Amino acid sequence: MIILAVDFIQIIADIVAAILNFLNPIVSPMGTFMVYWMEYVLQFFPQNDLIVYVSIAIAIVILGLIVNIAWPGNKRPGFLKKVDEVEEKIERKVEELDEKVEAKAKEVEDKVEEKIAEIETKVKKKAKKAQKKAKDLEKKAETLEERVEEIDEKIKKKKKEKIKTEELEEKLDELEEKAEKLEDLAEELEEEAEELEEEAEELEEEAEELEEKAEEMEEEAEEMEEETEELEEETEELEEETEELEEETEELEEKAEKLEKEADTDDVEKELDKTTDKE
Amino acid sequence: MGRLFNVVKGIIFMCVYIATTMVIPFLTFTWVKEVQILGVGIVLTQHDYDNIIFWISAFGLLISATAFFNYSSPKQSIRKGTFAMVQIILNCLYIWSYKFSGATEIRFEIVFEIANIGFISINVQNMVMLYMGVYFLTILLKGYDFFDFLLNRKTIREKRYKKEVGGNDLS
Repeated sequence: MIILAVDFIQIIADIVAAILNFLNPIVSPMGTFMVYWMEYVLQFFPQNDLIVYVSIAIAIVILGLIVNIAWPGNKRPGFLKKVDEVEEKIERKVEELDEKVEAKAKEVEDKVEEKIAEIETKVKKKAKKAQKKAKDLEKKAETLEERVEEIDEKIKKKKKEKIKTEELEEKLDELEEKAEKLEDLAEELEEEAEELEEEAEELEEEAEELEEKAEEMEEEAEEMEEETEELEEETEELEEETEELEEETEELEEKAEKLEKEADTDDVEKELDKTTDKE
Repeated sequence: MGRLFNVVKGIIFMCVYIATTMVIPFLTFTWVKEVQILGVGIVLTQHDYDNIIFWISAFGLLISATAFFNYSSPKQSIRKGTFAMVQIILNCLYIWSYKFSGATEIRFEIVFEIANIGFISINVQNMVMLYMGVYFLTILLKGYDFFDFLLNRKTIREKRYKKEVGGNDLS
């Protein structure tokens, strides 16, 4: 067990040695300097006399108590106190100014309130008057509205009448135009009537003439009838003659056909003669 | 609220430092003094033990007192920066005090019944040196903080006491 403990200590020693070797070149010069001055200082520390250290410790504690109770560090320093005083003066002045401003503001507010009250009373009076006027005006307005309505109705009626009159005017215009046209037509008709009258007169005259002529014609017709009877008799005679002539003509036609055939042979001979003559 | 809060904060941190720098090391070394493994006693010499306890108590007291001052001071104040730096320096001295005490070269004697069989020696001086280097960097940081608080005191205070709109002034 002791051997194991020694091994364990050896391991720890190796680790510590490794750390020391690593940091030794950096830290050990500082350590040697520290050792130097500490050895010098420790010469002045008394040995085997603990009372000195106890008394020093008590003195430091009492001193610490006194100092830190007397000056706990929460009192403002002198220069800051002056700053505070200046700030306080400024604040006082600001407060005074604020008070003055407030007082003036109150005065102004009072005046304003008085004026507002006066204005309100005036406004109320005016409002009452205005209300009365408004009522009157309302009544007037109502009457005016009624009148307006009446006028509107009248206007509507008038408009309707106007529309009707316009329509009537248009109709009148149309009628006038038609009348004018009719007048023109009447004039034309009159002219035509006159003309017709004239023509009628002429026709009457002509009719009279024609009547005369008719009479003459009747007479002539009678004569003609007589003549026609004569002519009919003649025609019957002529028809008989024509029948006879037709028979003769048929005979002649037959003769003519025969002659034509004979004439064709003669023509061919004549042409042959002509060609021989030319050659 | 401010005063009481600061003091309470300082007391809490003082208790923490008393525990970590005095009580726990004291108990550890007391336990190590009389530890036995399988009936074999590993014994610290009485001289070494007394020496260690003395330096632990001395620097533990100083560190706890400065921690109280440091943590009860207002934030970003010069006194806080000063005591933070002092605390780090005392921490360095506290760590280094282990060398004087013999804790950097711990010698465990192995005694079996009456006979002294031998001893085990652990040399942690290099480790302490490394730790010192780290502390050196911490001191540099604290120094930077201190000068920052010193040079930018006005702006820090202006920021700290800046009145918020609608807020309360604690003065």
